[in-house]
Amino acid sequence: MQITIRLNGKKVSCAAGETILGVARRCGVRIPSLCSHEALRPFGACRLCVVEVTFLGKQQIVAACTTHVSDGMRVSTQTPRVVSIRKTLIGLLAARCPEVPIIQQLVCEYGATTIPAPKKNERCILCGLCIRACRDIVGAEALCFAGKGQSRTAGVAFLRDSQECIGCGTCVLICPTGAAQLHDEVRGNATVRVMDTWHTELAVQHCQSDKVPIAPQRLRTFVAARRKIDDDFLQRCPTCRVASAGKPNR
Amino acid sequence: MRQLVRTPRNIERLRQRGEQMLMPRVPRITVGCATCGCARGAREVYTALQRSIRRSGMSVQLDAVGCAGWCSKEPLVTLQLPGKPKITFGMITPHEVPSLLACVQNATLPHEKVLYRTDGDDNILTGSPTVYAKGRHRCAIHVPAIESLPLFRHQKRVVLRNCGIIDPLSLEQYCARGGFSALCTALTKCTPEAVIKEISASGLRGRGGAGFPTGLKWQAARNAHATKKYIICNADEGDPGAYMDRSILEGDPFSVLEGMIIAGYAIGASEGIVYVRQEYPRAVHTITRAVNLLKRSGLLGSRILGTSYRFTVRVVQGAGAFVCGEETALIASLEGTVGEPIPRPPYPVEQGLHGKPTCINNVETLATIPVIIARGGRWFARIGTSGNTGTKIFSLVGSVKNVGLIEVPLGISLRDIVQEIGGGAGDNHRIKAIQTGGPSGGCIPARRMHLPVTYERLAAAGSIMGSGGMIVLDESTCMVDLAKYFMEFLMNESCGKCLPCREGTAVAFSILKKITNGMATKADLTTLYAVAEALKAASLCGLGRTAANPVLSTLRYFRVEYEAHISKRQCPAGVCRALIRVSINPTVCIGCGKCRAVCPVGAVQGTIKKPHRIDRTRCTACKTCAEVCPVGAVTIA
Repeated sequence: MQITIRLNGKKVSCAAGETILGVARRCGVRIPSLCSHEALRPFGACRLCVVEVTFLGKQQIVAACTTHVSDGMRVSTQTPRVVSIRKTLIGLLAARCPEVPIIQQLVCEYGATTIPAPKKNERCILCGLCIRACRDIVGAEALCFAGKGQSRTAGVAFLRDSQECIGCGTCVLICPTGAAQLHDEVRGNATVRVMDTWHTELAVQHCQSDKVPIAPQRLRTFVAARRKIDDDFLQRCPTCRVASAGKPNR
Repeated sequence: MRQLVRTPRNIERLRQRGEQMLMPRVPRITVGCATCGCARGAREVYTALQRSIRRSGMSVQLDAVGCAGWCSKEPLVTLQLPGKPKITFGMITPHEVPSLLACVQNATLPHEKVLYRTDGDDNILTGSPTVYAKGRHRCAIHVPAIESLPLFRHQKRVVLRNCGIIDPLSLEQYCARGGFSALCTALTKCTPEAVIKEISASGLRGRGGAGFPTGLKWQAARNAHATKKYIICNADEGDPGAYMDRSILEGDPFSVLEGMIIAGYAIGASEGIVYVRQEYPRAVHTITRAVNLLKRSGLLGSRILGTSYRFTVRVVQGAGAFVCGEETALIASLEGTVGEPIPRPPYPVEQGLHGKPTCINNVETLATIPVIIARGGRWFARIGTSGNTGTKIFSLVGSVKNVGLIEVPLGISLRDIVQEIGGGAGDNHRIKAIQTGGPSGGCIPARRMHLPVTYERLAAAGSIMGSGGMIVLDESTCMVDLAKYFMEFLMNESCGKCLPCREGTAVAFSILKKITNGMATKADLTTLYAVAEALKAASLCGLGRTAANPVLSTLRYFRVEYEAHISKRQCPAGVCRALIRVSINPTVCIGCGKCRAVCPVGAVQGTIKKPHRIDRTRCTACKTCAEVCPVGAVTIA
């Protein structure tokens, strides 16, 4: 069903069920957001995407990522009230994560001043993207939140030596602040993938033919169990896969 | 073995038996054994009575009942001799049991702990009161009638109709007070639509705090299409100082369950869940036993009262997180995940527990349902004011003479509640403000006590109705310190999911702490405002959105106090330790040495019969010396 809303005064037609943030992105209207991602369901944690909505005679501040559009809705993304709330939120974030580039950029954009908060020098903003990607996209469910309120952290179960983490690195890829990190380490003949943030180490599979490190062994078994790909195929590096026949078994 | 209740006639038989239990041919003694009573030793009184009765061989019916409401006089014991008015005694100890039993034997009242007499208890459900005694009785002539006490005169006990009167786990006694008559009417004479229509006509609004019209919620849940629907009773009462839900569950669990069965019938649900916090062991115990009793008697299960309607209830214990009182967090907790709110819509009535339509109602709301069905929505709508119909329970605590659980018609003024029912502040105290709505509520200053208690008027004054906590504050309370206390509570209870609530409550707390330590500047106040605004507008759930209320309302009415802390480095109420100085006035001091004896840090110096002095370098401003000084020589400035 096609409906019409007014976005910053301009008429926009959109589909029912779309979120305000989705519509705004499509129209090129910038709304800052740290916890939303096209591939994931809305979470509504960072609240930077607040906008002012007038609907059925009621004016209120809502999060654009979790609010669906309704016919006749009027959305303003840059009213003084919205900007002042965003400024406060960015100020709070700036105190928590002063060294994160994306937040420094927001501080400049909004001219926000740091509001001294108890937690200092963190990199993680607890947006939950890593957790949701791990659960909803990868399906490994290795990550979760632990603790509540001020002691809330993202991590693996018991915060170390995860038995579920497959070392795929999706969390590192999706993290907006660079809080999630990993690196590979050579130890003698073996290679180890160290998930720094999750305090977990995984043995890396080496190619059967030319001994090149490919991917963590747990990732191999994870994929093999779900995708019906020949294990022999997965135990070779991309070069050897092509060389060994060039016919990947489906 | 309990008999099965299959037809309305079975209920009638239970009612007749129950009436004999409420007005037995032998003397009846009841002891208020809810948590408030037990905390003051009601269980000991009960066992002492039990033992003495058994030993003396007297024929007495002894019942443990719920809370009668006058919590500052617990343990409450009532004595009811056949054909005579019911007499209530307060603050009874096990030592007084023999004299109580002597009253029973001699039918006299040589007792100094008598509080009031009751000639008859209103029976809200049937409309015909239970009359204990007609005419005047010599034995009780000097005892004030319950109607003559201001504490009870302004009350209207609709939801608390049975609390303190019946044995909470006696099905017969519950039926004798009109219990399950509403269920019979609903199941045998009404369609689900008619039930919802009646609730809508009553104008009942959710008693959990937000005040959403119950009829609308039920209609939405009824309209949702699904193979399975749930009804949840929200008994996760987390406000400090509030205990309405606990008292209902402990004093009259069947009324909540009857309300749930009717609600389930109205919306088409087949399963009900009572989500009650683990910190309420007695409530958990009582409601669990009540559920089992109803299951055994056939009032829960399949073919309820011979109809095709089927409904079960289970009790689930919450681990006590404050945020789990929020609907979506409660559902998350029930599903076995971390209790964190999720954005709405979809609302639980569309997609709730396990993705099925779920109607969540507060304990008090559900306990009101049977009354509305039995007496009609229009009868209920006549109580209170238009738009705010019915009664509301408040737990009246703080600086009032009569601390207790009260139920008043909505629209009553705060003054009536505090001055009349509560009896005002104690001697030599002046009321400064009234804090309503728990930690997310606000403070209303004494000069605005004329305010009627309605959802809208309280909100306009910067507070909320909330679930019904009402804390009366006198001039010995520092408003900044109070705001700090509530902010610390909210900071600790914030789940941490959304940024404004997680960081905002922590920042607000640290600024308030700075103010009470005398380290704050004017700029901090600006930051506090900005953070409060962000909390209010941008938080994900109700916890965060209302978390700014304690700060904003105290800033609105008591800005002078904030400014005194910041610019003058003074705490006008003499509470904030970093800002007060304790000294002894040498002209008043008689040198008794009591202060020296109690000082925990040895800061008081002096010899007996000579004026003492306080060593400022050691003093921690705990004010213990001021409490023990017999002549008021200790000054706090």
